[in-house]
Amino acid sequence: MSAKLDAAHGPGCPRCWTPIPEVVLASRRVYCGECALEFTAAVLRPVEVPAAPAPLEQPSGGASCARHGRNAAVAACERCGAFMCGLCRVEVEGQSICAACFDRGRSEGSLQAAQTTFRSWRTLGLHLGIFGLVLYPFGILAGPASLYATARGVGQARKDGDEGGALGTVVAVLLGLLATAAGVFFVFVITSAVRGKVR
Amino acid sequence: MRRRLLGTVSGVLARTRVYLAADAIEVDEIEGYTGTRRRVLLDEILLVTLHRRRRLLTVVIWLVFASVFSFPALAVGRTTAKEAALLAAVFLASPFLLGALLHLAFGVDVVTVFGKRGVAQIAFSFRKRRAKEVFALLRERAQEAQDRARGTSAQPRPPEGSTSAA
Repeated sequence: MSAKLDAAHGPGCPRCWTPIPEVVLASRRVYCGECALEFTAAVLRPVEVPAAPAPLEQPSGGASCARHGRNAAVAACERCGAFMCGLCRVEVEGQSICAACFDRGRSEGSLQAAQTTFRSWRTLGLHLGIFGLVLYPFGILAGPASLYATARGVGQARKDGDEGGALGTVVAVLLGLLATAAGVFFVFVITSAVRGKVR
Repeated sequence: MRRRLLGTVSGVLARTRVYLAADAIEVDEIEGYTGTRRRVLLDEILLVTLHRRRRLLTVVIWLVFASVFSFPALAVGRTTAKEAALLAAVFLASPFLLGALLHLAFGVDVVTVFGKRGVAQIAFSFRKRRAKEVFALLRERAQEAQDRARGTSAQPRPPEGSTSAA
């Protein structure tokens, strides 16, 4: 589905992705002639952003851009303080920063709005909990690992500002605790058996 | 910045969680333990649609499961206790047959959002009212964001070379 979604261009049928003219979509109940799908549509008209950027100014006695010396500075980076021209300025999370700081923030993960990949700690925690419970001899390792991953997942959800998801967290914590307990019990039984044999 | 979960779609290999953030719809696609985040900005939304989907493949999968689960009982029934075996086969297959029937009867409601640079889709198998609510919510939020953008763009632009951070 993802590949189809990525390949889709422009508004059209939500099943076969055939482009449909806006006049047809505006009728609210739309029938796709290609795949015979009937759907409800709400057309919106976003603001058109002018394609051509504002012309860059030549420096006339004032500060020039730290990266493009022939362009006048329009602002100073709010992170590193370097002067930057209109080409270098990036507006993100209410800040005006330079391209270098944007790249750094993106690679460090400190710019949340620029983050596109992440690790799903909550899923990892849940799976480790199940693994530790099913293969309980490994529970002593998998259980604490599950609890750690779940804690990271909670931190991640808090950072992302997610609402809800408490049930999944509770289930993952319970599984982690049960896996740990099962692992400890297994070690206890094995240790008792070995001690009994030695005596 | 808070974000609200609108819906999830679970596939065989990947799960998709769709959130409504302050300025965008965020689509988290998780394959294994690695996720990819896409955003469809609210002020770039061109179209929001709602449709009901019935997939032949889903019905076929349910029927395959039904036949796999009822096969042992039917195999036993060929030699002994035909009635009991048939009853057992129907009993074992019934959850899957019910799944196929429910899919045929109610389908899956799908909300699709077309942005200028991307598309987001949320599927609702059981909560039909929720699908309608999400459709209305997204339309309303997109309209608000676009009205706000129009208001901002109508304001006079700052003079060239201004050093104030926008």
